[in-house]
Amino acid sequence: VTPPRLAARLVRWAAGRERARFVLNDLDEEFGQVVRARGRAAAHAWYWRQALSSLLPLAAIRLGGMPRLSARHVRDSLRVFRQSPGMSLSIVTTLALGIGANTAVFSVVDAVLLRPLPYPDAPQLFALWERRPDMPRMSVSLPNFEDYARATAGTAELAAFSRATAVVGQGVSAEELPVERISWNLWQVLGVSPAMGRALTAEDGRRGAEAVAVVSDRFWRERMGGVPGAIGTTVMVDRVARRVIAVLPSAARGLSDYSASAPAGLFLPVPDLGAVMSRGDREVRAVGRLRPDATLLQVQQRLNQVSATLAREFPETNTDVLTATAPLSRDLSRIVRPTLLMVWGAVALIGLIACVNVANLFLVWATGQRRDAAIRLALGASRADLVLGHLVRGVMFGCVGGVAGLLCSVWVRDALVALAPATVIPQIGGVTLNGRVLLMTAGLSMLTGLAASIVPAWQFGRHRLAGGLHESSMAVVGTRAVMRWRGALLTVEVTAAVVLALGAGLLVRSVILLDRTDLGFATDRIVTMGVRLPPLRYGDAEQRIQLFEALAARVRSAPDVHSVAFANQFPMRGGWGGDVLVESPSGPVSGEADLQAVSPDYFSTLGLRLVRGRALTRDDRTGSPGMVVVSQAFVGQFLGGREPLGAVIRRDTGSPPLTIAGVVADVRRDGKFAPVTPQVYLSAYQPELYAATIASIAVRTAGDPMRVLPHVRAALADLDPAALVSGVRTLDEILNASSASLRFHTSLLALLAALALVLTLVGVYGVVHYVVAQRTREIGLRLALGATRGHVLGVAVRAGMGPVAAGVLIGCAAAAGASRVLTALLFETTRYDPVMFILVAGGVGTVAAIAAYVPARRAAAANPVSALRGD
Amino acid sequence: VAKGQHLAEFEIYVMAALVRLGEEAYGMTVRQEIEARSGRAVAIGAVYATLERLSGKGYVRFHVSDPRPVQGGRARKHACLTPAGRRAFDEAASMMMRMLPGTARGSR
Repeated sequence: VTPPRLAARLVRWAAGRERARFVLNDLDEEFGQVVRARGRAAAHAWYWRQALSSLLPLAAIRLGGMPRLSARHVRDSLRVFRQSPGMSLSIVTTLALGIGANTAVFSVVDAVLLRPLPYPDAPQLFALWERRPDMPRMSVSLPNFEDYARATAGTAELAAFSRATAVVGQGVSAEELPVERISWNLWQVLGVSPAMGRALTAEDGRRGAEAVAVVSDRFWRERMGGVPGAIGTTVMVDRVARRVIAVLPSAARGLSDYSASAPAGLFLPVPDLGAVMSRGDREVRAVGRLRPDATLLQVQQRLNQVSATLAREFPETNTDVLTATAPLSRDLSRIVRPTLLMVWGAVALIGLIACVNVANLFLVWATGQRRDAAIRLALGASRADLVLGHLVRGVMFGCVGGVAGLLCSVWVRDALVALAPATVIPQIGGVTLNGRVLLMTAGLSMLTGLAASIVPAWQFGRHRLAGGLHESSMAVVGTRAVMRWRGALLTVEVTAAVVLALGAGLLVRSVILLDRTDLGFATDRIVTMGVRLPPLRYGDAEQRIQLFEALAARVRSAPDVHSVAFANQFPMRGGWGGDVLVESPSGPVSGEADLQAVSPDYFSTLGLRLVRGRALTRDDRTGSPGMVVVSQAFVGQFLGGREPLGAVIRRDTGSPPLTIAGVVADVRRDGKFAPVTPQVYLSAYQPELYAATIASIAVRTAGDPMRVLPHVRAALADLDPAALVSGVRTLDEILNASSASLRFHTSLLALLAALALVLTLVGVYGVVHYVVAQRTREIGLRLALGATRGHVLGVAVRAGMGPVAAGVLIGCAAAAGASRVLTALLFETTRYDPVMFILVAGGVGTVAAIAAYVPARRAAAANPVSALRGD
Repeated sequence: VAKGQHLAEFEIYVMAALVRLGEEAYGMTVRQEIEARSGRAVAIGAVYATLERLSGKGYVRFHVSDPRPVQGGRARKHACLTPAGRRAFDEAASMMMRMLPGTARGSR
């Protein structure tokens, strides 16, 4: 049995080869005894304990005795602030940047990922989803949910919720607001009791019970005057009067708020409709609380049994449908987690670069003080004492940098919070500076300072410095080791910079490609909205169309309006697809296409280019033959080169024929991230051919499209006071929201990459500058002896470029692995994009070469005579 | 004893072990001796560091043994007290003897 080799190596490293020999001999001998007495595993543990606890005393004896920390060390380190203020300032600035960025991002990580959810006993809460082999995470259908809840009643209590918008209020003050529809026990499961009023009961969930509502603290303050008398009053929600029975505590948060940009203000208990709903409609999300002694595994087992039963009983809707459960806190942060960790990784790299730069500066300093150190040693100071001095200085700088960084971080954090779209990081509003963040900053500052001073400390603890006394600046002896270290540090720095630059590069490329992607329709100066009509009065499609036509005519006469269109739904706002059959000589071809019923002005309003034939007109109405317009992709996919105009398609084998009247350009109907899909446009005036409910209008204007809104509202109120406008959004707004996450992370990473490059630039410059300064006399001598300036230049630049080249190579390899975290954000860009790798490697190399060239040129331009005069 | 030459607690333990072990004293045996008698875990590194410090004060002398005549036998670094070391130890020990009586709990 051999003792652990790594432990032995550590001992040798701490004690020095000569002293370690006997220590290790003794350890090995006793190791044999321990093996015989207590067995192999115990002996290994014993050996490791011995080795680790011996490191410090052995290292201390090697360095000439255990040093005592004294006030002198602190005084000495403080003195450097006065002696070299420029250097001190650059160290503090670098540290502040690194620590500040890390603190800022950590405070976001803390708020979003680490802070416990604001519910009592939150670890007992779990999320419940349905899943299918092709869909790992689906909402839950209400009838299934009720079965799950009954089956797991012994181990957990389940509640359901879903996010919706509702028109709150009446008449002119009516406004569309986010609400949450909930099962009556949701707040009970979450463990939140109302601050005022009564809790919901099972009675509130019965069909036919009085319509009630629970309001958030904010809703109560902002819309109900914040008076206790608000309990018992009614609010109009989607034209239904609901009695307010409770106000929630101010800290309570709706579960759907975790994935939305605005908090829900109203919580509406939904009657148990499970019996009358389809099991195929998955409309609710589910949350559960474990009973005190139950485990998630038990719950999952019960759920699996239910799934098996349901699959047998309802094969049409429940075949292959299983459930998935996960702790609630993990589930709520699952969308932001990967990108947030990516940003955290990026700032950690910045921290690393900052630390390396400071280590480099410390090294320069320490080199400058070699003679000083030699004198101290000669006067009886121990080398351990000098090492301790370096470390104390490192920690001091770390602390000063940390304080500066903390101030920085407040500013950076506010900028982050202001810039981050609410949809990207929903909880970003809750970011604060708390104890955990402060502790992290303090720890990081000390660690950074310590880490940055370890290399110079070790370097100067190791070498006998007596030579420093009679060393003139002519000698290059002893600087070789320093150079090796500086080279290694530079490589680390370049590696980190390359990783960041590649990440940023891939994202920037994605943004460029995204911007270049043509939607196929216009989005500027177009506002879209839904129109909600009271269903009883508009049961007939004809009545709806008349209202929409009247509305369009009135809005069209408003100032600055170019055109008005109506349809069942506009692009990027959802819609429907369906099967179509295309007649062909070899029989009908079937496939799926997006279907929509549109008004004739749809094409001009959205700027859809007509390629062949004609657009739809007002004459394509009930009674005339069915006509459709299709997209080029439709022609390519279904007609295979045949003449599209006049071709006949059907929705189903028995349904009436639809003749293609025109072809328009392709669109990415669901936004830039979605593919081009075949489109079929039917006439809104032929509802008998396609029974989609006309429910939206779009207005294209000359100026700001939102200015037309009052006209639309007024016109609608005039036509039918009970009608409501909902979901008002410009197409640009929708488009920007879809790329907000990509753009935000791109600017963030680009900024960090730029910072990394600047810091690296400073590092390269520093190394080459150092070499040149160290070898001024040597260079002078060489020049005097006939070396060409080009040769001298080459030697100096090479000294900097070796480590850079190594860093670029390692960085490319590391980035190839690390870019996995970006995959979710990339758009039509592979993470192994060779162009980007070449660009970044070349870019970083060039920048480094310039940084090396500047000081090198100065050396080459030196006058040999003055260089030799020296000292 | 000159100022600053006071023996630290652990130094006294190590010297006591050297006295007791005599010829047999080297890193491992010293370590085991102190651990067995004090009941505290003792790191081999601490023993070596202390021995070296004592040798710096002139209290301890080393001699390296030849590798032992068994398979895998290795050299040991034996340690013993110098006469000055013995004197310093005796003085520290008798000082301790003079200081301690009447301090144990329950006795006065």
